[in-house]
Amino acid sequence: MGPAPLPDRVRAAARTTPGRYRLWSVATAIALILAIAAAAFATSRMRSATQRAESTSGPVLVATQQLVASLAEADAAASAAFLSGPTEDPEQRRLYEQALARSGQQVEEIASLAGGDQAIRSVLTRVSFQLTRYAGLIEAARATNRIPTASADANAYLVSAVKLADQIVQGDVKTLTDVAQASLRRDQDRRPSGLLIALVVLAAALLVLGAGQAMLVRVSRRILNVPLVAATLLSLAALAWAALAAQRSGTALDDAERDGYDSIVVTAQLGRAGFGAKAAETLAVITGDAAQRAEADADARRVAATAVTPGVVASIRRGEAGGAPGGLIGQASEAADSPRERAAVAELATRWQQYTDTVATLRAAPSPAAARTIAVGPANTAFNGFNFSVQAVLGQNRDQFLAGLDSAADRTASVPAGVLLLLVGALLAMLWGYQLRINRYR
Amino acid sequence: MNPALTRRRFLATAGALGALAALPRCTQGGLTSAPSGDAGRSTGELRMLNWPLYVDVDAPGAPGSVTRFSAQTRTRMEYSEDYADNVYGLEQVFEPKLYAGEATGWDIIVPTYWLVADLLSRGLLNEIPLERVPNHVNLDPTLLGTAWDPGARFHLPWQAGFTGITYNPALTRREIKSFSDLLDPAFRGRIGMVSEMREVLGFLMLANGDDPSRATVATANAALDRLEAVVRTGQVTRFTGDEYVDALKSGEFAACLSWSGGAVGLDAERPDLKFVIPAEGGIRWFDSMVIPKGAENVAAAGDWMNFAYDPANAARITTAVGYVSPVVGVKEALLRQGGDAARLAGSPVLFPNDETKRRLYFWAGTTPAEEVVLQRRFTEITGS
Repeated sequence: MGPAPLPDRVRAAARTTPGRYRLWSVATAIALILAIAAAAFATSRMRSATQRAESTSGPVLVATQQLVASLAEADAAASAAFLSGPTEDPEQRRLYEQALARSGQQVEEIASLAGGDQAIRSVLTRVSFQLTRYAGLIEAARATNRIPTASADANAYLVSAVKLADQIVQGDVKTLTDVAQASLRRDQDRRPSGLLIALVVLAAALLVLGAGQAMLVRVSRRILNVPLVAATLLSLAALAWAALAAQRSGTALDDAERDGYDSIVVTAQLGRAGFGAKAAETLAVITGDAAQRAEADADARRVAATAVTPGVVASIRRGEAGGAPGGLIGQASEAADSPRERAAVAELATRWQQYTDTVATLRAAPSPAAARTIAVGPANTAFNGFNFSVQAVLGQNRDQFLAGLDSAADRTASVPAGVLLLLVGALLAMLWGYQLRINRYR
Repeated sequence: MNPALTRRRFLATAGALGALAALPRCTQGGLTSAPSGDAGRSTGELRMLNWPLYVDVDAPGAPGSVTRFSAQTRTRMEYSEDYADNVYGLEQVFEPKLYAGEATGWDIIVPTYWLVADLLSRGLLNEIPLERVPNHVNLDPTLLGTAWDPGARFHLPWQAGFTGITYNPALTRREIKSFSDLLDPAFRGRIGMVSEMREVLGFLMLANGDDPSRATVATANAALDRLEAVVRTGQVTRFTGDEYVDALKSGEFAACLSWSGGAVGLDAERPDLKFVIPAEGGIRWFDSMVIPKGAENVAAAGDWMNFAYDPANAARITTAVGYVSPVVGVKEALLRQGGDAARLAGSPVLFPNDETKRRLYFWAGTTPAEEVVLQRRFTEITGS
């Protein structure tokens, strides 16, 4: 004769008081174990997603925007070195080499941060290839520029290089930004998934605990079973901790997104649009192509729809610009959320106006040679000023963003271990509480 | 670059730089950073540590920058000229205090760019309170493009300059046009050189056909080999700080490597002495204002920076110190001042034209660890 079927054993156990206690303890244990499993899954998922945002998708996004600034700097310097004639400007050449080397390092950094993310790696492979091509075209332009009879060929090489840089910035780097942005979004979306289920399971376990205690009070006529109360309190603490950590880290991430990331996106667009205007203007200076001028104007209008007057600059500083002077600078001024960031945007706006003023002088130059002189000198210097301002704003946004992600990660760092410890404590206390009552019947 | 570099200090450089390389990075200890986003209120007291003779001082009827700033901002300013050179900075300020995690006691310090890069890499600098420096927009962008501080958020250039050659035509009996001219045996024992490694080796690299802005250990060692040979022949009388000025005036040196700021001063006093940028090119450098971690009055530091970057104030400083101002608009401000100041507006040393700028090189390319080894050999050669 084998053992009785489980339902029969349960029914038999339910006929005695200690048996009923045992059944309640088993049911509560199952509920708490389920809660432990759900909480472990949800909190570690929340933590890993937050940490991934902090260590991977966030920094990838930031490094991608820095790549734009480096490429813009490299191209501005290369163009200036080329336009300075056969005896190139060594300082511009040095700046070009420095910025190009930095672009390469940033590609490597992004690759290392992205780890196995195939989407990012595939774009990066293309960017690396294009960067090599770009450097080759610049070298060809440089070599040909030294041959007095080959200026048309030299121009053609530089035009190809500038167009390629523009294509990298407006195409591949933008794709990279989109991919990195999607990756960050995935990490943010992944955080709360599972947490709701864990909270429901935890709440259910609490209900079972509560019902068990009610049964104990009714059967034993004792008001308080200290271990069971402790188990309830521990479970409640676990529930509150998980919920609070999720809420606080979510707030930190939202702050990081609002204060840092949104500004990064606008500043990166600013950098790209400014670079587009500069690239098109350079091409217009070399080729005399009016269509390039129109393109430069369109990009410039994207940067600022109207002139940046001293009044507008003062308003940006005070946080009263209300989107003036329109365009991306207007958006950046609205996104700036501290006196320092507003000051950086105000400077960026001023330096952009300085650049557009020198472009106006360049266009009014009496001869192509005079225009080249302005392009190499004041226009290039003014654009570099703008580009450095973009980097300054980007640096501030990056710090805010990474600090926000860091804070979010900090707030979830101890959650999985803490919640699990509390729930395991609750489980043990609950078993102890029931055992105390069962022992009364021995 | 080193207005008061002494021989003793120079000889200490290698040891100090060795210690610099040996120090662990990220040694912030308990230093606090200024709040990001807003520097807050000024405490009313500002402490600044700068090089000697590096600001305009009070004169009868013409208060200097420190006095005017104090009056304008109601800030009590403790201005010290004790920063004799970067060795002093390392030995007296950065190593014993900042690297050890203690506040320096200063709100602004003015090291040379390579030392600023090191401080920043260790995370020992506060962000510049840009919200208090609207005149930041007057800064020349060519001095903002460093690889180690994109966007120049942690340092602001104070003064820049370059190293060239000053010579006494009465003693050389011919025009000196190139660095190679200094190596002419006819001038044996009559040549002086400044004691900054990056500058001396930079010239030797240029003379070797190498580019100091893309320095490598190999090209630097080739320059050191050549320097060793030159020193061995007795060509160089001595390596000096700004004592070269006296040596030139006394006739001890027929020619020497010299700093552009010194040339401006000499031009007024001894117009017979000539300053040239050698045919091979000159070596550029700049000193920067930084706010060390633990500074107590970041807000007033920002106010001082703003004051210094006002073109009119910057022009007064330029008139006094003779170095290249990082502020755009100084030339026009000098012209407005008239008199001697207006004469300075035409100085090619203070306002090098594009052609000159093309012939100026920043030392770059070697790592701090490599530079320590190079500096040690440089000291062995020049100290022998």
